[in-house]
Amino acid sequence: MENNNTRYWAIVNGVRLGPMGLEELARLSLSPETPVWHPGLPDWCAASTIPELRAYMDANIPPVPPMPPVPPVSSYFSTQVSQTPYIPEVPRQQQPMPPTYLVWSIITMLLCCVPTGIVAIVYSSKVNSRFTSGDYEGAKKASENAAIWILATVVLGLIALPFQIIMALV
Amino acid sequence: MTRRVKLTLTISGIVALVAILLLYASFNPADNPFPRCVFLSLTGFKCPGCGSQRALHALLHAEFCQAWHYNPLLIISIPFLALLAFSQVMKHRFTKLYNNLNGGMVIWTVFIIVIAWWIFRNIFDW
Repeated sequence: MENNNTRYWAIVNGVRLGPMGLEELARLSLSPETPVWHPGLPDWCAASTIPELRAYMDANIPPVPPMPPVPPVSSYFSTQVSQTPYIPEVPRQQQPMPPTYLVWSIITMLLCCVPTGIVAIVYSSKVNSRFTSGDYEGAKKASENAAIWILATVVLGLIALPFQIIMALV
Repeated sequence: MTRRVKLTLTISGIVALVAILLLYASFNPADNPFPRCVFLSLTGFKCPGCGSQRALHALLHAEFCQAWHYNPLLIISIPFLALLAFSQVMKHRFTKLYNNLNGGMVIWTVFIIVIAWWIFRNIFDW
């Protein structure tokens, strides 16, 4: 019981460490020559000469095995808007997902009186599906197509406007 | 598209939206010579957006039941559009939200709802 309460000091790399318990001392990577002292000893002694420490040092603990390479955390989201600023091997992931223009697709579909806005929604969805499958160029193209169809819807709506007003008046 | 073109488009879009809102707040499309849907005039079928003008007018006059009667899709879309616009603006702050909303699932759901609504309203004459 007395041993458990004993405080130890050690000199590791020229730095005096302590006071600490036996467990804590053993956890330091001590060599047999590391100077260790505890109350009751006349002077620093080599770690190997201290019986209670020997028990720890003799125990044949296997060395830490080399860690297997940890696969990169493949987050679903990191493939879309790149959160990792620089990955030289995979240049695609640096590219943020092209805009889907979903907001404008829906607004034009609802307000322009021309159902071509639905085509824009189809292209909006293609932006994401192509981007997640790695087809960055395809995603960009779909994004542009979505924008073109939104503009086309607006223009068609504007062209139709005067005709519609005339029809409503007649 | 360059940044400037994008900005111009976004601003003109917002200006157009505000103008539309003001216009529909002051005129009632039901009794004024407002344009009718091209698709409806040409084919006789309603498009998913038919009734949005009247619904917008009703909505801007706080007549929610009336607005729902004209075009429920418009009413449902407004909070969704607000959320989308928010995530668009705060894209870098709420990346996860933006990616979720622009994910394939959400857009396909929107598409299916629109098509289903289109078919439904023509069959049941909503």
